[in-house]
Amino acid sequence: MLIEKKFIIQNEQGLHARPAAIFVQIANKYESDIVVKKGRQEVNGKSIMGLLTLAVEKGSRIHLKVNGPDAKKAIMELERVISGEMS
Amino acid sequence: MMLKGIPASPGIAIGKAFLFDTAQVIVNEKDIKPDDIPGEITRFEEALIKTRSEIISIQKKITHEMGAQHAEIFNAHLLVLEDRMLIEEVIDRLKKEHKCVEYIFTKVIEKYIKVFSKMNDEYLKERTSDIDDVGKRILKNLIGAQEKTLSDLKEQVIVVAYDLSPSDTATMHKNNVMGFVTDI
Repeated sequence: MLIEKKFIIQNEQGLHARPAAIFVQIANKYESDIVVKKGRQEVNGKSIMGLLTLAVEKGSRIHLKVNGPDAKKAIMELERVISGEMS
Repeated sequence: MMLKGIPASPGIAIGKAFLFDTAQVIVNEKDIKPDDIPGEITRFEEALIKTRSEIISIQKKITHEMGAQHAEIFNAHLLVLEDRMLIEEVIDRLKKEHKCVEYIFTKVIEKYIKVFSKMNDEYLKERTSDIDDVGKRILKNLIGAQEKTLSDLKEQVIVVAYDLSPSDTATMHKNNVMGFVTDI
Protein backbone atom coordinates (compact mmCIF):
# COMPACT_ATOMS: atom_id res chain seq x y z
CA MET A 1 0.00 0.00 0.00
CA LEU A 2 1.35 3.43 -0.96
CA ILE A 3 0.30 6.40 1.09
CA GLU A 4 1.38 9.94 0.29
CA LYS A 5 0.89 13.01 2.35
CA LYS A 6 2.09 16.61 2.20
CA PHE A 7 3.02 18.67 5.21
CA ILE A 8 4.07 22.18 6.05
CA ILE A 9 6.44 22.03 8.99
CA GLN A 10 5.10 23.98 11.96
CA ASN A 11 7.62 22.75 14.51
CA GLU A 12 10.11 25.49 15.58
CA GLN A 13 13.04 23.10 15.27
CA GLY A 14 11.95 21.87 11.85
CA LEU A 15 13.18 18.34 11.32
CA HIS A 16 16.55 18.89 12.95
CA ALA A 17 18.06 17.78 16.19
CA ARG A 18 15.81 15.57 18.28
CA PRO A 19 12.81 15.56 15.92
CA ALA A 20 15.02 14.20 13.10
CA ALA A 21 16.51 11.53 15.34
CA ILE A 22 13.06 10.50 16.58
CA PHE A 23 11.70 10.46 13.02
CA VAL A 24 14.47 8.11 11.88
CA GLN A 25 14.14 5.83 14.89
CA ILE A 26 10.40 5.49 14.33
CA ALA A 27 10.77 5.09 10.55
CA ASN A 28 13.15 2.19 11.16
CA LYS A 29 10.55 0.32 13.19
CA TYR A 30 8.44 -0.15 10.08
CA GLU A 31 8.86 -2.51 7.20
CA SER A 32 7.52 0.02 4.65
CA ASP A 33 9.80 2.12 2.49
CA ILE A 34 9.72 5.70 3.66
CA VAL A 35 10.72 8.55 1.37
CA VAL A 36 10.85 12.20 2.34
CA LYS A 37 10.80 14.76 -0.43
CA LYS A 38 11.51 18.46 -0.23
CA GLY A 39 11.46 20.33 -3.52
CA ARG A 40 13.27 18.10 -5.99
CA GLN A 41 15.38 16.38 -3.36
CA GLU A 42 14.29 12.97 -2.19
CA VAL A 43 15.83 10.97 0.66
CA ASN A 44 15.35 7.74 2.56
CA GLY A 45 13.37 8.58 5.71
CA LYS A 46 15.20 5.82 7.57
CA SER A 47 18.52 7.62 7.18
CA ILE A 48 19.56 10.36 9.60
CA MET A 49 22.18 11.63 7.14
CA GLY A 50 19.58 11.77 4.39
CA LEU A 51 17.03 13.56 6.50
CA LEU A 52 19.53 16.09 7.82
CA THR A 53 20.87 16.89 4.37
CA LEU A 54 17.32 17.90 3.39
CA ALA A 55 17.56 20.71 5.97
CA VAL A 56 13.86 20.81 6.75
CA GLU A 57 13.06 24.04 8.58
CA LYS A 58 9.94 25.59 10.03
CA GLY A 59 7.71 26.49 7.09
CA SER A 60 9.28 23.92 4.74
CA ARG A 61 6.91 21.89 2.59
CA ILE A 62 7.63 18.20 2.63
CA HIS A 63 6.09 15.28 0.85
CA LEU A 64 6.03 11.95 2.63
CA LYS A 65 5.71 8.71 0.66
CA VAL A 66 5.25 5.48 2.59
CA ASN A 67 5.00 2.22 0.72
CA GLY A 68 4.53 -1.18 2.30
CA PRO A 69 2.34 -3.44 4.41
CA ASP A 70 2.43 -1.22 7.52
CA ALA A 71 2.24 2.11 5.68
CA LYS A 72 -0.93 3.28 7.38
CA LYS A 73 0.40 2.83 10.92
CA ALA A 74 3.77 4.27 9.95
CA ILE A 75 2.36 7.45 8.48
CA MET A 76 0.13 7.99 11.51
CA GLU A 77 3.05 7.79 13.89
CA LEU A 78 5.37 9.88 11.70
CA GLU A 79 2.71 12.54 11.41
CA ARG A 80 2.82 12.93 15.18
CA VAL A 81 6.59 13.43 15.06
CA ILE A 82 6.31 16.01 12.28
CA SER A 83 3.62 17.95 14.10
CA GLY A 84 5.87 18.14 17.16
CA GLU A 85 3.63 16.05 19.41
CA MET A 86 6.52 13.69 20.04
CA SER A 87 9.86 15.14 21.00
CA MET B 1 57.96 30.21 23.53
CA MET B 2 54.79 31.65 24.94
CA LEU B 3 51.34 30.61 23.72
CA LYS B 4 48.18 32.39 24.68
CA GLY B 5 44.74 30.84 24.74
CA ILE B 6 41.22 31.16 26.04
CA PRO B 7 40.58 29.54 29.41
CA ALA B 8 37.78 26.99 29.26
CA SER B 9 37.64 26.39 33.00
CA PRO B 10 39.22 28.09 36.03
CA GLY B 11 42.39 26.85 37.75
CA ILE B 12 46.05 26.38 37.01
CA ALA B 13 47.88 23.18 36.19
CA ILE B 14 51.61 22.73 35.76
CA GLY B 15 52.89 19.45 34.42
CA LYS B 16 54.36 17.42 31.64
CA ALA B 17 52.70 17.74 28.24
CA PHE B 18 51.32 14.59 26.65
CA LEU B 19 50.91 14.99 22.91
CA PHE B 20 47.80 13.15 21.87
CA ASP B 21 48.08 12.86 18.15
CA THR B 22 45.00 11.65 16.34
CA ALA B 23 46.17 12.71 12.93
CA GLN B 24 44.24 11.42 9.95
CA VAL B 25 45.18 7.95 8.80
CA ILE B 26 46.30 7.98 5.18
CA VAL B 27 44.34 5.45 3.20
CA ASN B 28 45.74 4.10 -0.04
CA GLU B 29 43.62 3.76 -3.14
CA LYS B 30 44.00 0.05 -3.65
CA ASP B 31 42.31 -1.76 -6.55
CA ILE B 32 40.49 -4.98 -5.83
CA LYS B 33 39.30 -7.83 -8.03
CA PRO B 34 35.56 -8.46 -8.52
CA ASP B 35 36.01 -11.70 -6.55
CA ASP B 36 37.19 -9.69 -3.56
CA ILE B 37 33.99 -7.63 -3.29
CA PRO B 38 32.04 -10.01 -1.00
CA GLY B 39 35.07 -10.19 1.31
CA GLU B 40 35.32 -6.40 1.44
CA ILE B 41 31.62 -6.14 2.29
CA THR B 42 32.10 -8.66 5.10
CA ARG B 43 35.06 -6.69 6.45
CA PHE B 44 32.94 -3.55 6.38
CA GLU B 45 30.09 -5.25 8.24
CA GLU B 46 32.47 -6.64 10.85
CA ALA B 47 33.96 -3.19 11.40
CA LEU B 48 30.44 -1.78 11.86
CA ILE B 49 29.56 -4.46 14.41
CA LYS B 50 32.79 -3.90 16.34
CA THR B 51 32.29 -0.12 16.29
CA ARG B 52 28.75 -0.54 17.54
CA SER B 53 29.84 -2.56 20.54
CA GLU B 54 32.60 -0.04 21.32
CA ILE B 55 30.16 2.88 21.24
CA ILE B 56 27.66 1.02 23.42
CA SER B 57 30.32 0.24 25.99
CA ILE B 58 31.48 3.89 26.13
CA GLN B 59 27.85 4.94 26.41
CA LYS B 60 27.30 2.58 29.35
CA LYS B 61 30.43 3.83 31.07
CA ILE B 62 29.36 7.46 30.73
CA THR B 63 25.78 6.76 31.81
CA HIS B 64 27.17 5.08 34.90
CA GLU B 65 29.75 7.76 35.72
CA MET B 66 28.01 10.96 34.66
CA GLY B 67 24.35 10.24 33.98
CA ALA B 68 22.24 9.44 30.93
CA GLN B 69 22.12 13.03 29.72
CA HIS B 70 25.87 13.06 29.06
CA ALA B 71 25.61 9.79 27.17
CA GLU B 72 23.03 11.21 24.77
CA ILE B 73 25.68 12.21 22.20
CA PHE B 74 26.43 8.53 21.64
CA ASN B 75 22.86 7.98 20.47
CA ALA B 76 23.66 10.35 17.62
CA HIS B 77 26.81 8.30 16.95
CA LEU B 78 24.78 5.09 16.79
CA LEU B 79 22.34 6.68 14.34
CA VAL B 80 25.22 7.65 12.05
CA LEU B 81 26.74 4.18 12.39
CA GLU B 82 23.49 2.45 11.47
CA ASP B 83 22.63 4.86 8.69
CA ARG B 84 21.25 2.95 5.73
CA MET B 85 22.09 5.59 3.17
CA LEU B 86 25.72 5.63 4.24
CA ILE B 87 26.04 1.84 4.35
CA GLU B 88 24.30 1.38 0.99
CA GLU B 89 26.44 4.05 -0.61
CA VAL B 90 29.64 2.33 0.52
CA ILE B 91 28.45 -1.06 -0.75
CA ASP B 92 27.22 0.36 -4.08
CA ARG B 93 30.47 2.17 -4.73
CA LEU B 94 32.48 -0.92 -3.77
CA LYS B 95 30.64 -2.86 -6.47
CA LYS B 96 31.07 -0.13 -9.07
CA GLU B 97 34.56 1.19 -8.42
CA HIS B 98 36.44 -1.94 -7.32
CA LYS B 99 38.58 -0.15 -4.74
CA CYS B 100 39.33 -1.34 -1.22
CA VAL B 101 36.65 -0.62 1.36
CA GLU B 102 38.89 1.70 3.44
CA TYR B 103 39.28 3.99 0.46
CA ILE B 104 35.59 4.02 -0.54
CA PHE B 105 34.46 4.50 3.05
CA THR B 106 36.84 7.44 3.56
CA LYS B 107 35.53 9.10 0.38
CA VAL B 108 31.89 8.68 1.43
CA ILE B 109 32.54 10.08 4.91
CA GLU B 110 34.47 13.03 3.45
CA LYS B 111 31.52 13.79 1.19
CA TYR B 112 29.07 13.94 4.09
CA ILE B 113 31.40 16.00 6.25
CA LYS B 114 31.69 18.51 3.42
CA VAL B 115 27.91 18.71 2.99
CA PHE B 116 27.26 19.19 6.71
CA SER B 117 30.05 21.67 7.39
CA LYS B 118 28.67 23.97 4.69
CA MET B 119 25.21 24.12 6.19
CA ASN B 120 23.84 27.32 7.60
CA ASP B 121 22.74 25.77 10.82
CA GLU B 122 24.69 25.39 14.03
CA TYR B 123 23.10 22.09 14.95
CA LEU B 124 23.93 20.57 11.60
CA LYS B 125 27.48 21.91 11.68
CA GLU B 126 27.96 20.19 15.02
CA ARG B 127 26.90 16.90 13.46
CA THR B 128 30.10 17.10 11.39
CA SER B 129 32.11 16.13 14.46
CA ASP B 130 29.80 13.18 15.18
CA ILE B 131 30.26 11.88 11.65
CA ASP B 132 34.00 12.44 11.89
CA ASP B 133 34.25 10.69 15.26
CA VAL B 134 32.25 7.64 14.15
CA GLY B 135 34.02 7.59 10.77
CA LYS B 136 37.46 7.46 12.41
CA ARG B 137 36.35 4.69 14.72
CA ILE B 138 35.01 2.57 11.84
CA LEU B 139 38.16 3.19 9.82
CA LYS B 140 40.34 2.19 12.76
CA ASN B 141 38.41 -1.07 13.02
CA LEU B 142 38.65 -1.67 9.27
CA ILE B 143 42.41 -1.25 9.31
CA GLY B 144 42.70 -3.17 12.54
CA ALA B 145 44.72 -0.39 14.14
CA GLN B 146 45.26 -0.15 17.85
CA GLU B 147 42.99 2.43 19.39
CA LYS B 148 44.75 5.50 20.70
CA THR B 149 43.18 6.31 24.01
CA LEU B 150 43.81 8.42 27.05
CA SER B 151 42.60 5.60 29.27
CA ASP B 152 45.98 4.14 30.21
CA LEU B 153 48.11 7.16 31.08
CA LYS B 154 50.91 6.09 33.38
CA GLU B 155 51.59 9.44 35.01
CA GLN B 156 49.97 12.79 35.60
CA VAL B 157 50.02 14.87 32.42
CA ILE B 158 48.48 17.77 30.59
CA VAL B 159 46.93 16.50 27.38
CA VAL B 160 47.79 18.54 24.30
CA ALA B 161 45.71 17.75 21.22
CA TYR B 162 44.39 19.42 18.13
CA ASP B 163 40.89 18.40 19.16
CA LEU B 164 39.34 15.91 21.56
CA SER B 165 36.29 13.96 20.48
CA PRO B 166 33.52 12.90 22.87
CA SER B 167 34.92 9.35 22.83
CA ASP B 168 38.38 10.68 23.74
CA THR B 169 37.15 12.61 26.76
CA ALA B 170 34.75 9.85 27.77
CA THR B 171 37.51 7.26 28.02
CA MET B 172 40.09 9.61 29.52
CA HIS B 173 41.88 8.43 32.67
CA LYS B 174 40.64 11.32 34.82
CA ASN B 175 43.03 10.94 37.76
CA ASN B 176 46.06 11.27 35.53
CA VAL B 177 44.84 14.19 33.46
CA MET B 178 45.67 17.49 35.13
CA GLY B 179 44.25 19.52 32.28
CA PHE B 180 44.03 19.73 28.54
CA VAL B 181 44.87 22.17 25.80
CA THR B 182 43.18 22.00 22.41
CA ASP B 183 43.29 24.08 19.27
CA ILE B 184 39.54 24.49 18.70
